[in-house]
Amino acid sequence: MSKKVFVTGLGAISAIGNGAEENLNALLSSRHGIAPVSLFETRHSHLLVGEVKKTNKELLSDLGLSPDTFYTRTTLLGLMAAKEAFKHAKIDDVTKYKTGVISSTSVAGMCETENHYFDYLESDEFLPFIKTHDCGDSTEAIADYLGIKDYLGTVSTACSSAPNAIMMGARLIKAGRIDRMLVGGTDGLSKFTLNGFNTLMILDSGHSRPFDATRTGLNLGEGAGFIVLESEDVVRAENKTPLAEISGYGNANDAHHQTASSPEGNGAFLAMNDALTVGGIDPSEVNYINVHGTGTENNDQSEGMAIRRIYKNGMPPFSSIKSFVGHTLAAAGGLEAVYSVLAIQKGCIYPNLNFKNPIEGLNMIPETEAQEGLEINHVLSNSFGFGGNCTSLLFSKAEL
Amino acid sequence: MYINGIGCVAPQETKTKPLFSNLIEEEVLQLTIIKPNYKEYISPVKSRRMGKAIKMGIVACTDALKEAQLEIPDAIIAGTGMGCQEDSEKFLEAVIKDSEQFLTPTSFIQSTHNTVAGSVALMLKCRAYNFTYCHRGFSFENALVDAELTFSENKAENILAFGIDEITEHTRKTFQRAGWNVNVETNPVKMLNGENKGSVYGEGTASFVLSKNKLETTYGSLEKVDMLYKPSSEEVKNKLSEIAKENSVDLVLVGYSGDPQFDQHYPKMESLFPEAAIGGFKHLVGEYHTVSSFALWLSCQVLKGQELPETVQLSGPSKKEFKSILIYNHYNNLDHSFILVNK
Repeated sequence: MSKKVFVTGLGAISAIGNGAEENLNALLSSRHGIAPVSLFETRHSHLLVGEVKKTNKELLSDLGLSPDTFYTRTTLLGLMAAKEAFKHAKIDDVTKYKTGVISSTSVAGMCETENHYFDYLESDEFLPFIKTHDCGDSTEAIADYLGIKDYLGTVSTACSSAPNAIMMGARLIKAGRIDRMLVGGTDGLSKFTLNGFNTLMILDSGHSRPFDATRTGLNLGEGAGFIVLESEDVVRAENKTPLAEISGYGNANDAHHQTASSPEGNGAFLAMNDALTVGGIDPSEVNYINVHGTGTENNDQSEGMAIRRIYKNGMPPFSSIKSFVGHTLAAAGGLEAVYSVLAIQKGCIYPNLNFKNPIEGLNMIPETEAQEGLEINHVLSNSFGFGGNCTSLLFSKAEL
Repeated sequence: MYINGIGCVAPQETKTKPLFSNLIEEEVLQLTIIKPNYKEYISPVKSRRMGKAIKMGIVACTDALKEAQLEIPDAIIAGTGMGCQEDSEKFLEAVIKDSEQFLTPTSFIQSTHNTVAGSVALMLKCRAYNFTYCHRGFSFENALVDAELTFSENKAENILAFGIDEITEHTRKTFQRAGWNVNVETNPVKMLNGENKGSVYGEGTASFVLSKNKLETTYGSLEKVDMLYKPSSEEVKNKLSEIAKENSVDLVLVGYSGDPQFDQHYPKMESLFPEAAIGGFKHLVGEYHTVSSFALWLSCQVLKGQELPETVQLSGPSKKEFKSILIYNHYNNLDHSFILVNK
């Protein structure tokens, strides 16, 4: 049980790039990917979102799939990031070790269902999309594409989905049930979620401003982020150089409200605390906090309070990357896991865009400029979702 | 891990004794739950806004907790293939029909897949670990494996785990179009004759208090949860032979759905388990992603009552004693799962 679980591969696709490297470059040069909706016709086309700059046709072609394959955007984005992570981890023989996948999604096939909902009953044209509606479909497509068979799972806990998938993957490896896991999340942008968040009145009419006193909401986004986790034994046997260690994780429920976070940040506090405890790390050892920081009034206040319960005075540098890629829902914590590992590897901290005025009473100023050449040993990454679901992951410098 | 409390809402009565003595068998296209008396569980003010899945989830979880005399579990772990389908469709239909205008957030909020697990946490003020798995025929199994892990990590004494899915008319119609649901009204109890085209889809929820310690209420112990993804018939046979060799199984509950295109992938169970009674469960509650949770609930009833309801048994010898029950199910020949529960 005491053996370590290492990150050996990264894959990311988002509004700021295709591939982990493109994402990193955009983050370090403060280049966001937020623009008005262009993927579909909508009454709310003025709203700013973080779209992946590729059509479904282009994604199919990039993946070497036939243009008439019935894959949803959620699946296609997931395949892009999963394929990259697998390649990055240099896995050529998937059967050599027990290999599984735990993916996550909240939109799932809704991005297609919303286009054909009533047509399904009358026309045959899009019938193959019926089977793509549920969350498991994208995971099975990823498993089939990469030949994964030994463990399949899908998590759907709204905006904390991907870190929960990562957490479960790490635990399965730690318990010796499996040798390596592809874990993360994927969500395509949909009219359904755009209208949902709009109805909740938590979308900013301009660019989101996480942790700014004047923030009024989030920008939605889409994308996928996957990482490959491998057991210490596999890493040693394959003589691999791990990218980072996943050293801690915690999940707790806020038990306050279906969508809103408690003013004291109870769930967030418990999740962060658990992650630090599992990792055996003192809060003062954390070098960077990748906050959930959606830019909604409620989240940032609540998350700030939770962080302040852990750090009474002083605190490590922190930032939210949501103003770069938007809130990519189930994928958010997957992308941010990739960014957290890169922060450790490259010794960098990402800027929190659009910040001007600190929130009163919190005394928290996010990093607004990219920083490089630092020694980053531990990164805490937060993700919180509807249903009070709060998850925190701790990534640490890999030491074999 | 022991099963110390159970709760179930299904298209059959779940509290009548003897079980299924009041069997519901009508010609239908889909099976829907027998509505519990929600007022006994949820205040009408709250219940008015809740979708069906949330309400039935709360009922089954409350019953399970009460039986195990547990107030707050150390983890809540759910499995649901489709999530809150009713609310998802309500919101989507409003988006389509009213061209993205005049929308209200309630059904959007409740469309989130983890709504039931979140609502149960909210009701109990339970800040513990809270997970929801949504993976077709592995949804409930994913939850059980998580529970096993959580116990092995010494993170819990008691875990509330459940499977839940709801069927709507629209979903059923799309499943008909996909060729999975029957197109003619069918009596599910008689649907295992292998002559249907499609299955009768159903819905329901079964909830379990899983514990480290045995209680007077204990139904049995969960011995094994295994999953095989798209296995060959050889792999299935090997897995079943291995289980048969290691255990003296008295009853095998098989996930026959009545749809020959998928049922043909079950090997001949009678020859693999010649000593065991062979039973079914989908003819009682229909096909759905988390129907194995109903089968586990049924297994608990059999282990405690030491009696197999007549309608459950399909073949094999009639048994007087039930010590070990295997549930073998697959969803559309994609996700195959094996759950072993002992007295």
